[in-house]
Amino acid sequence: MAIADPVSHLAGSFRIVNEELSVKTPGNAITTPSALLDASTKPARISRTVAMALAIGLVGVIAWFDYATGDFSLAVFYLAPVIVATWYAGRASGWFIGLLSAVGWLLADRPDGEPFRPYWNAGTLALSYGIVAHLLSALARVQAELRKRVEQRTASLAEVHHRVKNNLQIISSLLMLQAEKLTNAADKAVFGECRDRIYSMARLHEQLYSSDGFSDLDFAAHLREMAEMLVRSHTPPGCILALEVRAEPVPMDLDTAVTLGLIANELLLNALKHGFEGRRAGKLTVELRAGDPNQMIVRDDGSGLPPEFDARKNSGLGIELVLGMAQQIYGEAKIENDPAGGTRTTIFFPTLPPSKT
Amino acid sequence: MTNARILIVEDEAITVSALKRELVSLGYEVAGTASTADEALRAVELQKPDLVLMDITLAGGVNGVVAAVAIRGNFPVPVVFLTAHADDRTMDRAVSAGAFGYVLKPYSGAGLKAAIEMALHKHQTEMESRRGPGRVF
Repeated sequence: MAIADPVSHLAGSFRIVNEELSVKTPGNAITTPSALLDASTKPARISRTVAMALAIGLVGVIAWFDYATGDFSLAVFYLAPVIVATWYAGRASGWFIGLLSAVGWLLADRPDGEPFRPYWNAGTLALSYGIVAHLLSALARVQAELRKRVEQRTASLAEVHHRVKNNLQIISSLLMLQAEKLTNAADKAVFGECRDRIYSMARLHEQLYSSDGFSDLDFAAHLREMAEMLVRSHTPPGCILALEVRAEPVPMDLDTAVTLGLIANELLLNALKHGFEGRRAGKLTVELRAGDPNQMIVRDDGSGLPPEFDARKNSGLGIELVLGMAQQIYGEAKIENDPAGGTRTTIFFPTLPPSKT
Repeated sequence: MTNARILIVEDEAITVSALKRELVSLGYEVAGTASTADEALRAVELQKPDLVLMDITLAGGVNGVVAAVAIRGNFPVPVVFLTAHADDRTMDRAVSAGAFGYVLKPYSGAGLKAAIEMALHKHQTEMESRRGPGRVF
């Protein structure tokens, strides 16, 4: 099927209902799931007419009870229709119902020989109901304004989040394009590692955005996803690698999570690069243990560290970064040979680091 | 499905350049690129790609979800979204547009390949089931 003019084809087949994504085909409306979601998540509001009918009915019922119960004061109950009218139909409607309530109270009042007092009391009641209606309408306005601001902030946050990730994508793309100019495989690998770090940080951002708050950040899930991604893309050729991730939920703030994620990234990359050289099979274990302090352990069953290895004297960038970042989260790194063979790195870190000043 | 021909619909020039190289390194052929919805439709018609890799925010005012609906309505080609939008609402919309996959930016090569392969396989299965059962004897 030939499309002479794709723009008019789009315009003819689909009418863009709004700036966003809802579309309608001719004669066949598509209701997007989000539209349904919006309809179901917003609190149901009753219409002005229904609210006023309800309020007037309530005034009538309360006035009848007021009359039937004689001297028992039911003045406070007239507030119910005033509140209903003000909240759902506005301040003027609230004032009207307040006035109507005062009239209802007056009609229900039994004469006690004082010609002026019932009118005075009804007047003060009308004034009180009017004040309540006024305050309540102010509260409703503030609430509506706050809701609007929250919606605007939420939209802004979503946009910022989107731009952050788009920019991370551009940085990652630039690194890839720059790496193309390099001829040395080792140099190219450095750029690839940088892209992995960017990817790892982006995934944490994503989780932060989709969670309700910082305390809900699921670092265990992030660690699992990151380890799987790195093993998929960096397993040495010809080596069958088993990955085991045992991660307990550990509450942490965003700064700790980003830093710990970068540490895990370094340790996993290091193990994948050096731990299984010349081997046909191996095992990589990642553990996250909750406690005091918490521990993150990355272990491989590879060749292990050379006997003279000293992390403090090692001049490699990876080790330097791991030690520095461990300190940054008020923790400590321990790099050693595992008794069962291979290398074991443990990061000890507290749950709630002291606030940075 | 190696050598599958993929159309890139993306309005960020740097990302397009990197994607082209990434796809080639993963064993695919780049059928073409487009930065707007109408360019995408034209390219699908002319290039007949095996798969469309579609961003959601596009130049030209019409977004990728609308473009995907138009493509899916006119051509038997699977669409995989490649986007920085990670919210449920946008994902729901992508699903309702008939997406075969959803890859978040920044992407990893392995993640991108997995999504493309799954989409191609799903599309192939769908096309075979539409054709109905073949002859048994």
